[in-house]
Amino acid sequence: MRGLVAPFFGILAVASIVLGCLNATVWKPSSEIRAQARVAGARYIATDPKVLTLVDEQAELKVTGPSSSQEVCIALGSPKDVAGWTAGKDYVRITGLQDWASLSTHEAHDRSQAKGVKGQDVAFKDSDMWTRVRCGKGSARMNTTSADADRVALIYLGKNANTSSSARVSLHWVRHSLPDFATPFYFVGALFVVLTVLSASVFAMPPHKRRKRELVSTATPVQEEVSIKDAVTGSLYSLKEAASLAAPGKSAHMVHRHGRVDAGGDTPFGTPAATGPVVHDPGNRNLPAEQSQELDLSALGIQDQETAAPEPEGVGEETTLISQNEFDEYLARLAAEETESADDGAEEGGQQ
Amino acid sequence: MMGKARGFTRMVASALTVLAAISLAACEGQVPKPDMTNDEASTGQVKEQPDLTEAQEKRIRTGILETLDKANEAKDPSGLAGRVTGPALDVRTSELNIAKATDKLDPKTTIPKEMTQVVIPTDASWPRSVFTITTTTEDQQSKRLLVMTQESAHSNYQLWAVTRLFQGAKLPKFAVPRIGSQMGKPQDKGLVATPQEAVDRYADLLQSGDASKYADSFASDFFRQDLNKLSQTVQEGMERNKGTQTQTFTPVKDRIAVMRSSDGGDLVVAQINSEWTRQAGEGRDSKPASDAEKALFGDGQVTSTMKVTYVNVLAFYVPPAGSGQQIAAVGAERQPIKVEAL
Repeated sequence: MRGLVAPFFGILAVASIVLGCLNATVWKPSSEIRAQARVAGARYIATDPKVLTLVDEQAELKVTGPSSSQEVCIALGSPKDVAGWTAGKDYVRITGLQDWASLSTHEAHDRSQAKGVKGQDVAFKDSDMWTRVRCGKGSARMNTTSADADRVALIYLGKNANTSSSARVSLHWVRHSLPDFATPFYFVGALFVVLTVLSASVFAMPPHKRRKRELVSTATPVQEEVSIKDAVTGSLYSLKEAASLAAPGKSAHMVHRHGRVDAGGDTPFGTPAATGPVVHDPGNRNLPAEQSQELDLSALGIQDQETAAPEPEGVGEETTLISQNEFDEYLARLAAEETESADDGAEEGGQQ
Repeated sequence: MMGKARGFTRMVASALTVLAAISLAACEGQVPKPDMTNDEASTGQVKEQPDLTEAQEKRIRTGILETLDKANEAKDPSGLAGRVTGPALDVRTSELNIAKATDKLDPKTTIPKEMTQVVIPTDASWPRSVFTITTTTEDQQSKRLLVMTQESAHSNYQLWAVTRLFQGAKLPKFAVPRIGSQMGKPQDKGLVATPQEAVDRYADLLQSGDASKYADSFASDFFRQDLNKLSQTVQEGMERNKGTQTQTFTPVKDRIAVMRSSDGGDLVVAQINSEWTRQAGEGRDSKPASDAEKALFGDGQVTSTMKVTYVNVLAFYVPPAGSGQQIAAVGAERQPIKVEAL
């Protein structure tokens, strides 16, 4: 795994990132699009709706007429007005982009009846219907903005334009939102990097190593350190002691506490049965010392430790290495000790 | 271990194929196509757009008013052709001829430059009419209702009619210019009467007065009141001299413009011609009855009969059927255009 798959993913990662860089620099989509078309034999050229805003909201429409002395005009109007003007006439439609460098055109003939009132026809550039008109000798240019999004352009090549004349129409856009081909490559590259790292580390480990560690190791020396099990037992037990310290006459507690103090941490905090019955004088007590010890014990808490003695630490710390099984065992043992100590206490009380 | 080599080769091959496919995609992306979410039929637009923007309407109206101002200055109607048409041309020509004769332009010819409301049609066909209501004039005359029409796609908008709205006349509501309104037809249904019927009935009402059977379907208005007053005055004079007078009112065919309002009724502007024949009794001469008639008549030879032709332009509001309202005239213009001694 480590020797084979990780390098393979590594190569893929490098390749993806290299391709991403190439797409962001050398292969970056160009922001300027210029598409042209050569139109022959038409007097009127009209763009289809939505063609002017095909690539970007702002466009520059330029037309070069058949002769440099003939005036050509570009007008912007609504589609129904343009359709009304070209009714009954032949014209060429610019329908869209054939590819990124050329426009697609289509010859059209409007067969609807053109109703005209004699003597009232106006020149193309004087019509009230257009929102904007630009004229020029030989060529004309019109810039459209996003406000003209619902308009179409109608180009008039002059009344002398006939079947033998040809004009060139070009639309120029500057793209403000470019398609981003690099980011997918970067993303895939990042994924491959992660895969490489994983296959080199985690997936390459032998399975048994990946399992989480046991809480109890089999060869822990008893004298040198307190096992977690014992430490937890003792902590909980002393907590229970501290909780019921107020109740008098429970000489069993004294027994245990005394046993702990005497041991000084050398002996394991073992079961009461190990120490045996101890005769003590109730009056022989050092109350302040007992008080301070109680506080220590109550503040002990349950902790994960491999230190020599259980040391007072902050209350509320938790350990995460005790498994549920061990805890259940401990509780069962605790219950057994309870009954034992109750018997002992009864014994001692009887002995006094 | 032995299958691993083959598996590895397969993995490499598939990965490289995927990468190659991605990298060979067009550098520019896919060529976009025009987004044709709306129907592409020539007249089939899902949402109808107004035919003009407000800026365009203002440009047209300003151009027309400039032409009128120039003609007013020169007191010469010859420059009006191409900008003024229909009843407005008849009325304005007459007004300018009178002004040329009297050297004074009637104050009623003033048209303010500012407007208070514009009604722009959304129709895709021709002819198209734009209704514009101006402000009141500087000398507190009433607002004018201008009707500008475009006869065909190849012609421009021309001023077709001007009426002076009555003080306090209630006009119907129209959609804002950005949305536009629909033009109506003379035979529109769903109203108390079709627009053409309303015009014909009003002509009959003017003709017969209270004896007309349509007297109840029209609300009283200033035009009829003024006309009645004038007729009464002339009648008294005629009776003193044992003369007679008659007026005939005839709606002019195809001189009607209709705009549908947003409350279901129609605003109708139409031309009704009238001829006023006055016959002086006892061999007297029938002379022109006003300065305007005098100016138009010029220095012709008076006889005992005088016939004056008037152009009356009326604006009505025809309410929807079942509304219980009467048809009301909201504006009018009256101008003599020809004075003849018969």
